[in-house]
Parts: sequence; structure tokens; C-alpha cells
Amino acid sequence: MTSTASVSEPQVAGPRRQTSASDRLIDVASRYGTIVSLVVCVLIFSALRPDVFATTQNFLNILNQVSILGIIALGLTVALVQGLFDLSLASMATLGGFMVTKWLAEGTISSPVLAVVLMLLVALVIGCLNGIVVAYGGVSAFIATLAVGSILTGVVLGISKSATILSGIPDGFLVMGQGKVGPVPAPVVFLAIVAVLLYVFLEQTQVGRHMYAIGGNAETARLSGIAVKRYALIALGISAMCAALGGMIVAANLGVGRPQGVGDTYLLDSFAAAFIGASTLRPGRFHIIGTVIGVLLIGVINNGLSIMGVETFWQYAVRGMILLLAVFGASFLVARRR
Amino acid sequence: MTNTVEPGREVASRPGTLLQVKGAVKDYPGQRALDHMDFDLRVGEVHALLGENGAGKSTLIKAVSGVISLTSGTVEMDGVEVDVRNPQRAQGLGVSVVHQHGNLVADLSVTENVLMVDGLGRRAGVLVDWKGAHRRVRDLLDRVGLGGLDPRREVSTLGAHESAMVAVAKALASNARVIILDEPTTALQPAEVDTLFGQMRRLAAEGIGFVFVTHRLGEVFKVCDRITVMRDGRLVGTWQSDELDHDSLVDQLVGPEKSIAQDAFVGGSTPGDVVLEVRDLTGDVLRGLSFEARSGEVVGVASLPGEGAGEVVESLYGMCRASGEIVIEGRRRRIRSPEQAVAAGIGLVPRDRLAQGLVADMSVRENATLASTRSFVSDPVLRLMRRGRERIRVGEVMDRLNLKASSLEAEVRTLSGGNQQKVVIGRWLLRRSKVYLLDSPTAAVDVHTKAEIYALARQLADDGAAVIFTSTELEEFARVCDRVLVLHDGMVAGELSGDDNTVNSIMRLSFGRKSD
Repeated sequence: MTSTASVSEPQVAGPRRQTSASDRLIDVASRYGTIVSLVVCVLIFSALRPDVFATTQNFLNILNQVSILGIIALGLTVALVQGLFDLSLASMATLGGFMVTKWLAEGTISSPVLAVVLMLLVALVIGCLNGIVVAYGGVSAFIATLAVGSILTGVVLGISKSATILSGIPDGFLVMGQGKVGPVPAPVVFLAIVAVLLYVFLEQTQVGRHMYAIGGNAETARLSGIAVKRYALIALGISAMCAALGGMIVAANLGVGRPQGVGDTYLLDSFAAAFIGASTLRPGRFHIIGTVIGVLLIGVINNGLSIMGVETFWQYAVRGMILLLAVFGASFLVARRR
Repeated sequence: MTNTVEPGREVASRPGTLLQVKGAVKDYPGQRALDHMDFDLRVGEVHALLGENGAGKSTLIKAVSGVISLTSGTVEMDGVEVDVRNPQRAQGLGVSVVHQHGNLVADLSVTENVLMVDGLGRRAGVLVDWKGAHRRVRDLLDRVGLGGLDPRREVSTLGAHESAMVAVAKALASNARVIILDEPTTALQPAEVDTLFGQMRRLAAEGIGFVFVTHRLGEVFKVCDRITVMRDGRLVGTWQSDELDHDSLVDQLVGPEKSIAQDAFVGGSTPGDVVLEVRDLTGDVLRGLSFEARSGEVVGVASLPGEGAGEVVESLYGMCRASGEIVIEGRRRRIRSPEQAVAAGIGLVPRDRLAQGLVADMSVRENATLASTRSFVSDPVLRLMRRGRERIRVGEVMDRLNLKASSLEAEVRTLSGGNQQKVVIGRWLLRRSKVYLLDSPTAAVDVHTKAEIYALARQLADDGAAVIFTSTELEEFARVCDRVLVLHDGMVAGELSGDDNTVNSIMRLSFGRKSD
């Protein structure tokens, strides 16, 4: 008996293809794959170490651990919705954390709230500059933000003379990273606020709708009368603000203002989280809920593996494999649908 | 037109025949693209191949250059039957095609382009012999009259005329004896066209045969020895070019009066007020175009490709730079971008639905409201989208358009071509546009949907809008439009309406037929 492999011929003529069972399986697998793996991870770790992993305290721990990554990744998601890669967010985070501690420690600004708000505005301006270079200079965001990021790194190193700010940071600022609202750590509160705001922004507002349209097909958006260029400023501005907020929470959490290396840890993970998110629920589309799930997945894996006493290199490797699977699933599905 | 011209058809191949196609038939599903077509090209001649869009020119060229294979019929080179099964084989036989925009890679040097097919020579087995390659290319450039051109220059830095000649040099590099020029003059200035023709004649004197495809009939008489006209996949005739003049050639191209299908458009409602006034529109091709369109009217703008109709749409929509005045409902509007055009009340149904008309991953609802998001926001600060209202309004409009979709939340990619087009039209209904630009709205939709789109164009006009309509299929103008402006050479060659609005009269005018 000859085994005939059933290869479905791509039909050229019809605009619509019949969806086969395998297509539907891949569809479901890629939509819910990351959610299922999140649940499975939680179940496995809970089963293996119920006493340590499956506690309220540990879950709050996980949230606390991922909150900074989450805030940065959520901002990045807004940029990615428009197809803009923001590589400046690492140095933006470093700059945010360092400048605020410097202002407060040296007494340039005495109110922590004012310092934080001012820093967010500075970040917004820098992000908009990114956007101007991209939209009006015609430079790809990848290169533009890489360049701006390098400049920012240089600026922080120059201002700080490579010295870490260790003392003189007021408690009013440290609350941002170390305080609690009830049992919930302050960074988690910030994460929740950012997630809700950006969710509403992207899903419910006119600007968010236009951003998705531009990300989906910029030419269609332009021909529909949308002023496409200015949206790059908004997207990269938001991304920069979130990065700076993340950096400030790091500084508040540790109680020091480091002039280098703060944001770098989060750069690749935030891209990983956003891309895992883009393969979740709505394949091929970056969205806030997806990114939240991506962030949680990374957090659970890191936390679980640490609790199990698995060495760090495994954490990196496992995270990489999950990212590959997720992105592969999404791109496979997108390719199938074309 | 009184003198009928007898086609001087060649019966047998004469000595000196380079390429001969006999009884060529090419069937596509449901359509015969070539119907017993005969064609021959002699050594050292420039032979025009003419016909309107869809007459079968491209199919014939593809068959000769090995892109497609014929259903039946033969191709002979030097009197020997050959099997042109693929483009490589065609090149081996000495047949090269130079396309409209030249088949050159802009980022590579002249040498790399010219020797792309033939290969750069090698030195010591692995290294490219650049010296030898440049020397060879310099010789080839000399032959096409570009002796002074540095072969190391990037093609992107060349002018249109130089690119065209470099493409010819590339053909010569692979020892082409038959060079097919597919509308090579579209991007050229008149002086450059003359230079090109000079070089073509010189190369023809060396024995190379040219097949010259163009829409510009004036050029045909300037450079061609013989003329072959095709219509509906068939040979109309082959003539010595001095046997025809401009007007009789147009008559051969147009053919006898076609009977219009029974669903031809019969009289619309009486037009209302002037909605759109265009004065003195001047751009790359257009030279001082003025016209107006009234509410309730479908106005066709017809021209040969690249002769103005496309530019009318693009300049009205702010997609290209043009000077002139655009007045909408009595208000003078400055339109420099699509954004301003939309604000002025113009809506575009673009030529390429998927690349320009839709966001494929978004839902029907989101696509439909893309130009009118402003009317669905809750307040001027937060600007939350009111989805419930969106759903109601989109539902109303799509009911009117008779849209067939599984739901308004379905991704627009899952819809058929015709329904996708309705979503684009619905977008402008929601925006309450006053002027609709329908730029070949029936491209790539099936026959049934075409009829539906014609009806929609009428409906838009009957609802009080002014509709500007373009198409590459001339019979559509007769079916949909109240009147048709035919452009030739960037100016209105004539306006047709009622019984005069026929395919033949549109073609006659667009080819610049002087007398009637």
C-alpha cells in the first residue's frame, strides 16, 4: 500500500481557502498556547513545591519581580503596534532612574512627586525626538532608537562621571519601589495602573484605533485621511515614558541611582514578552493583554526554576525556547492564512 | 474616413525572417488570450506591435520570451521551429525583452547589470575580472550610443533614457538578435525618445530585429518599418508603415463598432448643483485640465495608461504635486495630502484594494469607520470610541450596500473581493463624502460583482454625490458614466455622453484621432 501524504495544494484561484482541521488546530494552539503553557507552568511548579511556590506571598513576589519588566514591555508594546522597534528603552530606563535620584539627592528638586513627573516629561520629549527622526527623517526606528539610546548612555555616564548615587535619596521616593498598598507591593500597583491605562488607550480610544490601522497598513491609513506621521511621536513617546518609569522604580527599589546597566537587563526580556504576547489570542497583533501574559510567563518560569534550585543558565535557555515556540506558532499561523 | 486600407499580410516567410509565430493559440480558463495569431519579424527591422489593453500583445510577448507556453501554434527562429520552454531558452535563442521600467537592479553598477545574464568574467578561477568586464561593457555601451558612460556607475544614478539604453545593452550582452521593447518611452522626454530611436535604427542596421510595443502612435510612424495590429487576441493585419496614416491606424486599432451589452447604462437622474470644480490642473502629464462634476453625476475620466487619468485622481486626492484650483461646493480647497482631501469631502476607492484600501487584519467595522473615527468619539479629551454606535451605523450602511459577511467583527481579509470593495465604499458613506474617486474599482473582482459595483457607483450619484470614475476597461465607461472626459496628451481631447459614449469613440479620442 502506498501511503499518500495529504498535502493540501495551495489554491491560487479562490480568495478564500477552506479551513482544514489542521489549520484550526494550529489556530487554537497558537491563540491559547501561551496561556496554556502559563497555566501548565504554574501547575507543575505548584505540584513540585506546593509549600514554597503555591503561596499568596510567592505569587505577589512573582508580580513584584516582573512589574518593572512589565511596565517597560507594555510601553514597548505601544511602539510595536505601529511596527516601531524601540531599542532606546534600556538607556532611557537608566537615565530615568539616575536623573531622579540625582535631582533628589542633590536637592535640585525636593519633591519626589515633582521629580518623577518632570522625569516623565523629559522622557516624553526624548521619545518624541525619536519619533521625529523616524517619521520625518525617514530613518528606521531600529537604527534611530539604537543611536539615540547610545547618546543617552553617553549622557548619563558623562553627568554621573560613572559614580553611583548611594545616599541622600528621600524616603518619599523610595516608597515608589519599596512601599506597599495593603499586601500589594507598590511596583505591582504601578504595573496595574500602566496596564489598565494602556489597554484603554490602545483598545478604546481613537488614537489607539488609528495606531492599529497604521501598524496594519500605513498606506491605507494615510489614504483614509489619518495624519500618519505624528503617531510615531506618540508611540515612541509613550514607550520612553514607560521605560523611564521602570527605571525610576528600579532606583527606588534598590535605593541607589546607578548610571549604567539598569535598563539593559530589561531590553531583551521586554521584546520577548511583547512577542510572546503577539502570538497570544490575536496572532500577529501586539496587544496589552498578550504582553501581560508574556511577562507573567517569563516571571513564573524564572521564579519557579529558582525555587527548584535550577541554575541560571537553564532559566535563560528555557525562556528562549518558549519564545521561539510562541513566535514560531504565530508566524506559522500568519503564513498559513496568507 | 473613406479609404479602406488593405492589410498587406505576409503569406509565406521570406528570406531574412528572424522570428516567426504561426497560428499561436493560448487558452486561459474561460478565456482565449491568443486566437490563431501570426507574427513575423525580419532581420534589421523595427516592427510595431499595437493593440488596446487586453488585445493579446503581452501574451504574445510572453510566449515568444518563454514566460508561458502556447496551447498550440509554432515559433520559428531563422525558419527552424523552436521550443521556447523557459526564459533561459529564449535568451539562448537570442530573444530579449526590455520592460517598461527596464529590468535593471537599481543598486548595482552598470557593468553588473549588463553582464547579469551572461556573467562577469573570472580571473584565477574565483576572482571577478572587473577590468575585463568593464571593458566588455564599455564596448556594448558604445554600440548603444552611451560611449561616455562610466560602467562603474550605479544604475540608480542614471537618467531614464540611459537606463533604457543600458537595458538594451544588457540584451546585447546575451547576444540578443530579437529585442522586444515593451513601452520603453513612457518615462522618456521627447528629446530622449529621439535619441533612443536613433540608436534603435543604428542597431537595426546591424541586423537586430526590434519588436516595439507602445500606445503612442506618433512614435510608431517615426521609427517603425512595419506595423502589426492585434484585437481580441487575433491578428487584424500587418502593414508597411507608409501604407497607413495616424487616423487609419486608429481605425484599425478600434475596429468595427461593438454592440454594447444589454445592461448598458441608460440615462441617470438629472444632475444637480456643481459639487466639484477643477480649474487649470497641471502636473507631470496634465496640462491645464478644467472640468466640473455635478451632484448625481458619474463622470468618467479616460486616457491611455500614463496619459492623465491616473494623475487626475492622484492630484485631486493630494497624492502627487499638481497646481491648479480645486473647488468643492463653492469653497476653494487646498489639497496637498490625502488628509486634506478627506477633510474637503473627497473619498478614494483606490486601485489596489488590499495594499491601499484595507487593513486586512482589522474587522469590517474598524475598516469601515477608519475615515470617520471622529464622529464616534465620546468626548474631545479621552476620545473613547463608542463601539455600540459604530456597530449600528456600520450595520446600516452595510445593509444598504448589501454586504455579505459572517459578521461585522469578521476580519476583512476573510471577505470576497467584491465585499471588500463594499467596505471601502462604505467607509466614505460613513464619512458623508461629497466627491467619490473610484479608481478602477472593478479591478480583480468577478463579473457578477462588477455589475454590483456599477450599480453602487450609480447609487452614490443618485444619493447626491459627484462620482469620478476611471477604469482600464473602456466598456465600463459606457456602462456607468453619464459622461466621459477623454484625455490625450494631458488635455481633454473630447467629452462624450449619451449615444456618443462608446468604446470606439473613447479609444479614437484617447489615441488622438484628429478627424472623425
